[in-house]
Amino acid sequence: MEEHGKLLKVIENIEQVMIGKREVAELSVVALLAGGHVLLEDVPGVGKTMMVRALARSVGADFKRIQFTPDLLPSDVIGVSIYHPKEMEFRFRPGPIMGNIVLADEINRTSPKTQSALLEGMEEASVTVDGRTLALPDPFFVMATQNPIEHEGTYPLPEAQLDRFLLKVKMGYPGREDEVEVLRRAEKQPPIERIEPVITLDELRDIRTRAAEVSVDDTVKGYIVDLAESTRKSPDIRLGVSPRGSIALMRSARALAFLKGRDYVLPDDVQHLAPYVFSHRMILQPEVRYEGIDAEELVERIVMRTKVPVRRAGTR
Amino acid sequence: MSQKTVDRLFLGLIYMLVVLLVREWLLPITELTGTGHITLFVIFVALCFAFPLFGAPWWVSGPAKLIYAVWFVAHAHMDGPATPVASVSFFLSDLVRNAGLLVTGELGRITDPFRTVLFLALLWMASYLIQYWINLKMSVLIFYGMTVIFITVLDTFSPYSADAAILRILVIGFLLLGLTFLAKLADNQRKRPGLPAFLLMTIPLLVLVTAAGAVSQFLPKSDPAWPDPVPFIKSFAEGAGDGLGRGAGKIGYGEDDTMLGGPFVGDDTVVFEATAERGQYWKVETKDTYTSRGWIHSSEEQELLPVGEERPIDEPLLAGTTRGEDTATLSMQLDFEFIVRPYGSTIPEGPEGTDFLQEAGTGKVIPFVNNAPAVLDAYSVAYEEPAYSLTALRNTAPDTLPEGEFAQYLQLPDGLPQRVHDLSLEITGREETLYGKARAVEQYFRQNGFVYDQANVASPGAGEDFADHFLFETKRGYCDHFSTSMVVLLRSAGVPARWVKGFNEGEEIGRNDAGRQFEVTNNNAHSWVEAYMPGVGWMPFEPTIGFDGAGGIDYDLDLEEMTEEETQEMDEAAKPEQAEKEKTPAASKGEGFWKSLGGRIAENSRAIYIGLAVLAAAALAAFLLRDKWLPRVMVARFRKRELDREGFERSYGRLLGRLRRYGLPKEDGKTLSAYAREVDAHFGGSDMRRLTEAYESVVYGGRDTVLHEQAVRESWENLINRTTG
Repeated sequence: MEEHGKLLKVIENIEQVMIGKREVAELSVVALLAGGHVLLEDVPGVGKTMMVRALARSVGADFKRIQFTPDLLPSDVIGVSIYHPKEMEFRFRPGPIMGNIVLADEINRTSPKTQSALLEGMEEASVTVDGRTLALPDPFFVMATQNPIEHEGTYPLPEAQLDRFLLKVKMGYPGREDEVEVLRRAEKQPPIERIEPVITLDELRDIRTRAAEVSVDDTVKGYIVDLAESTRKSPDIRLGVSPRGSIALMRSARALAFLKGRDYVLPDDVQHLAPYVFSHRMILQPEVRYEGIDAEELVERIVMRTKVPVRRAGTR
Repeated sequence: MSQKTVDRLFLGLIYMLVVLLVREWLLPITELTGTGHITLFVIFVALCFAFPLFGAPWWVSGPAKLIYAVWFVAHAHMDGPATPVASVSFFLSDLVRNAGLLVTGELGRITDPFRTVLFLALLWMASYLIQYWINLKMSVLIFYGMTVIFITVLDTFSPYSADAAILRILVIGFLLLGLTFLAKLADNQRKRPGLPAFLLMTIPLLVLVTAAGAVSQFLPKSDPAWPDPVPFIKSFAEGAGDGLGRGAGKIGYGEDDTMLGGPFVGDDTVVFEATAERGQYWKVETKDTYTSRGWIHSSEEQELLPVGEERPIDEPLLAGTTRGEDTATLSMQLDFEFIVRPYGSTIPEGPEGTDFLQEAGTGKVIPFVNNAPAVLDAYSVAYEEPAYSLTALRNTAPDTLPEGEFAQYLQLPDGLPQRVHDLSLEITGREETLYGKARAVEQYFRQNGFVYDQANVASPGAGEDFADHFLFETKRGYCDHFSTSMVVLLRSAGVPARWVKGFNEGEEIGRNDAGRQFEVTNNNAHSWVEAYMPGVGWMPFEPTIGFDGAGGIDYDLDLEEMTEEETQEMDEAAKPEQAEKEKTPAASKGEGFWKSLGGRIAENSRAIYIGLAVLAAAALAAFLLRDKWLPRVMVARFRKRELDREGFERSYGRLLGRLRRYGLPKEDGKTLSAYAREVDAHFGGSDMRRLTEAYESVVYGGRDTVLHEQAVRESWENLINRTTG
């Protein structure tokens, strides 16, 4: 499969700048294919910007970056109409959201109002300025980063808004070997300059359509629902995953299957993605949080306990 | 202490126990064959184990054993002082002589010294084999199992009594199993246990096993349900047993009734075949003296009276009718020096020159040829089956009994417990006639929780009364228990009664012009009761549950005088008789079949149980060994199965099941491909991954056909075959 090879090349590109983070690269491509957005939860300085830029370059996409600060206004994100004295009219100056691939840095540093401006754009794939609705470019892919909640001066994203993101990924520090390699490469020309586009935006749009055609058997759908159901029943979880979460898991599983060169989804795809898709869509019981168990771990436990279907749905 | 010493100590302990176990083999051999010098043999075995334990090379241990053997042979078999030179020359000359015998095949003439040499060689090989098991697999289970089987078989079939040996084997065996298990555990550890750990593991084991063995000696033990299987096995092996002489626990007709009780083994050896119009009880003799443990006859010398036209075998009834004349023709399979006969027998007829004499006391009829008791193969007995007059029976008030005449039939042992008398009074107290009392006792067993059983029957302990034990302690037994108890109860109630031995009607096997044919086997050996009814005579009663009575009633009552209750009673009692008359042959045959089937099941319950047990054991063995054969069956079926989606799903499911049995279960939360990697990592190769990939494309990919079917089939078979190992 030609497209499949190209996608792998994209991942390789990202890996060049993000050493030892193939997992994150893969997940980003999955989200891109599934038409979703990624929330990266991490400390600053682990190379998030680099990664997104590498991704943007690989697909020849327009890259925009918004650094969220406490004083950022919605119009700073969406854009603003400015009166043009010569032509005697207001002209719209698009904000940084009008890009193909947008890095929204430290999204939880800004006020909820500005946050929701971005999140609404992500949900609707369009923004409304002065009563006019402007469609956002296609593809439109946001990779937002947020500092771990415990940091000072943050506005945590409301749970309801969090599920605008298809995946939530934790990046973490590179391993020792990998970090040595990072240092070695930092001595040379920044690798980002060497990255060549692998596919065009048109191709990307085409690939996305094809990825959406990957089949999900009822057996696997049943498995997804079983997993969601288990989060709802778990005593450790106050609010389980909504059906929207199930849909998100199915969509991303399709993209992962496509990335793996398959035209059907395996329970393996579902299992692999479940922590990334589910963890930010649940509210844990407070006592569980105090114990230091995080949502990803809970989802993994649920995955371990939920029976994988080994026969086709409907046959016994 | 170094690790090596500790290991050696441990192994030495195991070897010591093994030598003790070998000694258990030698003990019965020396006892049964008269071989001497057991200590020397044991020392030889100990040598065989000691040399390797201390790492002696073969060129030391071999000659040492040889020298020991030479000395042994010389010491045991040579006359005169066993100087080295003399010993060796004796040994060699013996060897040469016997080698010649071996070559010419004259095994019978082999001398004792050479037998000793051969036996030593055998011991040496056996100990080598045991060492091999221990060193290689740390397993003595096979040897231990063989020891147990050897000893138990000897205990059962030979005079050797293994009571103490069983206990010793138990203790030694469990110690051995425990120690080898510890050794196996220690093998799996990187660091081998030192002396303290070794002691910590071993001493509790020693204490526990020894204590358990000691305690077991003091625990109460129930008697074996089947004390001696040997006669049973013999009767199987020999076909028709001798029948005479009731062997230990085997059913059949026997002469000696002094010790009743104990469990029985069924035996369907045919005793005789009879042709008669009706099925009926076959009487042989009666006994009158109850000894608390069994029956004897009061007079040892029996007066013999000729029977014939002038003097029929059974005295005619004082009141009652008969059901017509008939002649029973008998063909004997076993050799009896007496005849069996129906009730109401008149004249027996044997081959030319046969005289029949009857013992006055027991009623036994003995054929005489040339004035000596003889065994008849065939004879016939004319009889008129009696029907006892109910009118007369209703008039059997106790005071009609002639006084003094029946003392011997009212005899009871002095030591009979009072509670038997009390029970008798309780049962019969309300009945006014002797007949009523007899019927009451007969019915008592059917309504008070008594169970018919041949197998699980306890014998009364020393000093206990047989009837008392049955009536109050066990309530479980067979005909001897019921009939003896009834006689005792009747006598206690003042009804003259005696104990009757013979056979029940047997199984109907056909019909010819002369009448119905019955086959009577050892299982039909039976005992019942006769009670004396004044004005009527001796009348049979059948107390045993599951048997229907001997003796018909003539309902000659004047109907107008009867109360309603009596009429009802009469109707009920008469029903079987009427039914019998109306039956068509087919119906009677059908009913007879079911009846005889029920009877057969009851009689052959032992054989049926054994059959079921064998079947169950076979099924269990098949189930336990299913890992060996099931995969082959599955592969054979798989080859025939079409590999469409459904077939593939089923086959894959089977494989998952087999792998689970093998010890590679799939966890619920594990995906198939993750599991496949795990399985392949275990077996090596990539069969499971290949198979699983194809399976995934069917189950999750929605394909209806299987790609690369041949490869998939091969992978499946490979995997299934691997689960066999």
